[in-house]
Amino acid sequence: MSEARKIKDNYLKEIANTFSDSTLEKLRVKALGKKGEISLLLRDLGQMDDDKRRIAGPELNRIKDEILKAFVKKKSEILESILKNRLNSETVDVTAQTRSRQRGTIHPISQVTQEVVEIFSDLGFAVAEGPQVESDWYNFDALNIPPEHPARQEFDTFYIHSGKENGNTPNVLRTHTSPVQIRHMEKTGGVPCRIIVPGRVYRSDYDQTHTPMFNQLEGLAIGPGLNMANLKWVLEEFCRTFFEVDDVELRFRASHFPFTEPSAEVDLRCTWDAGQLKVGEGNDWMEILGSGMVHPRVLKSCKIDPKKYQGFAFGMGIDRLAMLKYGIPDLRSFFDSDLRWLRHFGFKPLDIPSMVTGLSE
Amino acid sequence: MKFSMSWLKTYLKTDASLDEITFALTDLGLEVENVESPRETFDNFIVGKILETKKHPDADNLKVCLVDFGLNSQNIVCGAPNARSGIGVVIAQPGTYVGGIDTTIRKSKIRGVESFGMMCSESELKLSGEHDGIMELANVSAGENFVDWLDVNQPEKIDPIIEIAITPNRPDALGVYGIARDLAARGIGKLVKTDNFFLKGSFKSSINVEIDSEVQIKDCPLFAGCYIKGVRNKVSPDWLQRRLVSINLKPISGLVDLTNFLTFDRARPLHVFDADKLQGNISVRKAQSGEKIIALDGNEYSLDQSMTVIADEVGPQAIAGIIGGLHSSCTAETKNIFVESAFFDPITTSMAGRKLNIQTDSRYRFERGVDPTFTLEGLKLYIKLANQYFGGEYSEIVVAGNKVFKNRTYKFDPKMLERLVGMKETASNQVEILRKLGFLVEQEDKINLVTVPGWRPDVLGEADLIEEVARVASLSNLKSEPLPKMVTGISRPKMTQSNRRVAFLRRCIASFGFNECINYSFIDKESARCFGGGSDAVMLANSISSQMTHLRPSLLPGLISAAARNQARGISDVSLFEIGHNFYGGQPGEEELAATGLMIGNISEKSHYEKLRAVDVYDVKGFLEQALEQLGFPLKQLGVRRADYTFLHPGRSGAFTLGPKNEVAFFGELHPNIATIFGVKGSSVCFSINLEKLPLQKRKKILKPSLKLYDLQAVERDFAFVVDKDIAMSVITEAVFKSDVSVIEKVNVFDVFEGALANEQLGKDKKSIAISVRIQPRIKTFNEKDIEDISTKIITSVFELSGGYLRS
Repeated sequence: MSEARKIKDNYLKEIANTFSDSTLEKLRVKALGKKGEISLLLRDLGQMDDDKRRIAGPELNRIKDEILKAFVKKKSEILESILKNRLNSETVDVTAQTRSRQRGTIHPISQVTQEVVEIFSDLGFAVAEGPQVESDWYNFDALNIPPEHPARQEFDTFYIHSGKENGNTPNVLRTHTSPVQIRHMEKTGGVPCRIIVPGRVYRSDYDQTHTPMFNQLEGLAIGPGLNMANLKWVLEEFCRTFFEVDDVELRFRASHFPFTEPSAEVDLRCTWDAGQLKVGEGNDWMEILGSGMVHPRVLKSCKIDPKKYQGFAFGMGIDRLAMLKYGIPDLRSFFDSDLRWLRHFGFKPLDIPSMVTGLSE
Repeated sequence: MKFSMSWLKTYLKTDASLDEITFALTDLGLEVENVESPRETFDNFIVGKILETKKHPDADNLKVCLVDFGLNSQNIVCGAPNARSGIGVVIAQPGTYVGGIDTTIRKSKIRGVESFGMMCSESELKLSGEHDGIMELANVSAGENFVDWLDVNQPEKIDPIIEIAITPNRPDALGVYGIARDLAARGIGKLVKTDNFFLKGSFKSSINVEIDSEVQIKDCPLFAGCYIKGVRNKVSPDWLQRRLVSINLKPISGLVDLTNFLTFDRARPLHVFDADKLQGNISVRKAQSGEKIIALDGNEYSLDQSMTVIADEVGPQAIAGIIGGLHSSCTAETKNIFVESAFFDPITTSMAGRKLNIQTDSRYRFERGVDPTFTLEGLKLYIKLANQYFGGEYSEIVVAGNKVFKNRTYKFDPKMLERLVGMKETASNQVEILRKLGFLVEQEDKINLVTVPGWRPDVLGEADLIEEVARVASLSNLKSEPLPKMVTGISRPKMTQSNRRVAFLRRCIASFGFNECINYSFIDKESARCFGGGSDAVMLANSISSQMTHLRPSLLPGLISAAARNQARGISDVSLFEIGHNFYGGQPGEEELAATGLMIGNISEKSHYEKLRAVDVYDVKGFLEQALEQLGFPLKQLGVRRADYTFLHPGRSGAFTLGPKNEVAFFGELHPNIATIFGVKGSSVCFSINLEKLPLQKRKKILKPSLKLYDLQAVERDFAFVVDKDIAMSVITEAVFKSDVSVIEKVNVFDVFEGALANEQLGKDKKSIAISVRIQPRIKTFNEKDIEDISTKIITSVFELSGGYLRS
C-alpha cells in the first residue's frame, strides 16, 4: 500500500503547487475522475481477496477523502484569490462626481399656494377659480364699486384695448380675486359656502415693491350667523399654522373696502431680527391682509338674502406670504425666472406640503 | 391728509399723549402713515445766558463766552458774530448729539482754550435753514430744558405733524374738525363745538348768481356767494401761515390762504374771485364744447359739455369744484372779491377731473363728497375771518339753487352688532357712539331711527351704522370665536379634479429636472405675433411698458425670453417650465391652461463618464409621453402626427392627439428663426400640454383592471426590414402589433440604417429598420413551428402596410 500513499503524497504536493482553477480541475480529473488514478485503485479493490480488501479498502478510502478535501480547500482558496484580485481591480474613486442630472424645483408661489390650500381645506374651504380677463361688472359693479367710485381709481386697473372703440365698457385684467366670489355665488346659489380662490391678479404699478402682476388669495364664507369674530378666529388659525408658530396675535383695524362692511385690515404681531421675520413676538405690527363682512349689496347682487345669510371675505397676497415666511427679499424676482433664484428659493418636487406630514421640511 | 397736533387741539380738548392719539387714529380706520415729532431731538439741550464775552487770545474770529448754565457758569468758545453778553442761548452740553452737524459734542480745547459745549443756530438744531448766527432766546431761565422753553415760547417748533391715509369713504376726515370728531367719539378728549352764527350783510351784492336749470338737478344744486368790498389782500396772520406751512402748503396771500385753510380745517373748499375782473353776473352752467380756460396752474384746458363751469358774461372763470381761472384770480392789488361756496356733484367733478387730469385738494374733496349742509356755514366762516383780518364790507349772501338736502334715516338695531361682528356693547353705548359722531338718534316704538349727518355721504344703510359703532368701539377688542364645522365626520376633498391634476403635473415635470418659473401674462407685440397672437383683441389699453402690451398666446415666448436672460448670465443649459394661462381672446374665459416646458443646451454637464449630448426632440417627446401617461393618458390611447406650427422646426416637431381632431399636446425643436429672434443659443426643444383639451375623467376610476400574468417564457425575435425612406417607424411597429395582437407584447426599434451608404446597399431611397419583437405565449410554450408562423404573419403584415421586406 505504500504505492497508494506515495500517490497521495504526490497529489498533495501537486495540489499545493497549483494556483489556477483550470490546472486544479485537470489534476482533479487525473486523480479522482472516472479513470483517475485513485478511482482505478478503488476499482481494483473488487478483485482483491477479502482479507486484503478489509485492510486496503478503508486505507484507500481515507486517502481518497484526504485528496478530495485538499482539492476542495485548494479550490476555495483559488476562488477567493480570484475574487480578491477582481475586487482589487474593480476599485473606483468614490470621490468622483456622479453623472449629472438636472434637479427640478417648484416655484415658491406654487408651494405657498399649496400650503395655503392645505390649511384652509382643514377649515372646510374648497378651491374655486375664475377667469383673469374680467368684465367690468364682475370686477367692480357687482362688488359695490360703481363706475365713478373713487376706489376704482385706486385699483390701477389694466383695461383691454378693444371694446373701448365700440363704446362698450372695456374688459379688465382682474385687479383682485374678488370677482370669483360673485361668480361662485351666482353659480352655486352661494349658501352655505366656504371657498378660497388663489390666482394671478394685475395692477398697473411697477416699482420696488409692486409688480404689474401678482398673486392673491381670496377667502369667502357665507352661512347663517357667521360673524367677524369667526373671521378673526379663521385668520388666527391660519397664521398660526402657516407661520408654524404656537402663538400669533392679530390686530383688527377698521378700514374700508367697498365690498365689505364692516371692514378691517389685519395686522400681525411680529418683530424683525436681522432681516428675518419672527411672528408672534415683539412690538411691530405688520399689515398682512384686508377683510370684512360681505356687504349686503354684494349678497343682493348674487341674489342672496342678507337678512337670512351673512358671511365674511378676506384677501391676501400669496407672494407676500411667501416673502415673509421664507425670507425672500424682492417681489420682482418672483417673475424674473432667474435660474440662480429658482434653484435657491425653489422647493424640491417631492416636498409636498400636507397637513398630515407638515407644511415645510 | 396732514395736520399738526396743535391744529387738532383747537377742536379737541385732550390730555392724551401723541402715542395714544396715533393709536386711536389708526384703530379708528384713519391709518397713521407718518408722524414727525421733533420734540425728542431737543431732549438734551438746555438754555443758558451769555454773561460776558472776550476775544479769543489766539484767533481773531473766535470769542470766549462765559455762559450761565444755571447750576454753574462755564466757558464756551464760539465763532458766531451775534454772540454777546446778555442774550439767551441754546446749549449743547458735552455728550449731546447735534443733528444739524451730525456730531456729538465733546469737551474740547479750541486753540488752547477749553470749551464746555456749543451754542446752537437754528440750522444746527434743524429748526430752520437759518445759520447766520446762534439762536437768541428771550425769557430765558438758565439751566431750563430747551424743550420746556419751546413749549412756552415757540410751541409750533415742536408741534408734531401727523399724516394719515384716508379711505375713499371718509370725506369728513379730510378736515381737521372731522378727525377731532372721530377721536372725541372714541373718548380721546372732548370736541369743541362750533356754533352757527348770523351775519348781516350791509348791502346787496352787485354780482348775482344763476344756476342753469339742467345743472341744478344734479351737478350743482346749491351755490352761495358774497361780495366783499374794500379788502386788503395782505399776508396772512402768523397763526394761519403756520397752519399752512405745517402741512407743506405755501402761503400765497391772505384771501387765498383762507380758502386753503378752510379746505383742510373743515373739508370745505371755496373759491374767491377778484370781483373787479368779473364781467356781469355769474352763471353755473355746462361748458360749451371747445371752450377754453387758463387755470390757476397756468395751463390752458379745453373743456367739453360734460363739465360744469362757473362763468361770467365773458366765459368760464372756474372749473366747478376743481380749479379757478387765472384771469379772475386774486392778487395783492385785489380790492373787491366775490367768494363762492357751492355743492358740486362727486361724479361730475370726478369725471371732469380725470378727463382734464387735474388733481387739486378741492377736487379730492368734492369727488369724495363735501358736506352739502355746511355750504352756507362755510361761506359765513370765510366772510367772518376775511373781515377780521383783511377788513372790508360784506354784502348780503347770494344764494342760488336749493338749500334743502334730504336727510337719510335708517332703522338701527343694536343687536346687529353682536350678530354681524360678534362684539358685545350695550345699546345705550352704541347710541352714544352714533350721537358723538353726529348722527341723530330718535326712538319710535322702541325702534331706533338714525339720521345721517351731511358730512357722511358714505353711510347708506344699517350695515354702515354697525360699522361706525364697531369702528369706534374698537375692533382691536374683538375676541375670536371658532368657526363652526360645515360637516360632521370626515371632510370631503377640497380640490377640484382639475386643481389636483395641475398640482400633480407640476411636481411630475419638476421631477424630470425642470425648474418651475412664473412669467408675466403680458408680452410684447412682436413676440406675441411669433406665436400666433398679438391681435388688438388681447391688447392692453394702458400697458405700462412696451414689453408688456399683449396678453400672451402661449407660454413659450416667456420661457424663451427667460432662457435668453439666463444664458446672458452665463447659464447655457436651461430647463424651465411654467403652468399658466394663455389667452386667445379678450373676453372672460377666452383663456386656456397650459403646461409648457423648454430645454436648451446639453442634456448633462461635461463629465468623464460620457460625451456631451445636446438636447433633442426625443428628450422632450419622452418627458411629454411620461407626463401624459401620469395624467392617465398612456401612449396607446394617443395618436402622434407631425405638428404644424410656424414657431417649431417643421421636420422636428410633432403633436399628440386624443381622437382624430383633438390635439392635446405638441413637442419639437424651436424654429431656427425663433431662436435667432429671441437670442437663445444651443439646441432648443420644447413641449406643451393644453390642459383644457385633456378631458377630466367623468367618473373616478377607482377599480384597477385585473392583472394578467403569464408564467410561460417570452421569446424575443429580431427583424430588419427594408422600406422606402419616408416610411415612419410607427408604421412598422403598428404593422407588427396588427399581425397578431394576442401574442405581441412589445416592439422596439433598435437600429435605423439610412443615408448614402444605405442607398448604395439597399437601393435608391431605401432605408432599413431593425426591430426587436417580444412574443408572449399565453397557453403553451411556443415550438419552432409556432414561432415560424408568427414571424411569417409579422413579415406579411409589414409588407402589406409599408411595402417593406426582410433585409437579406
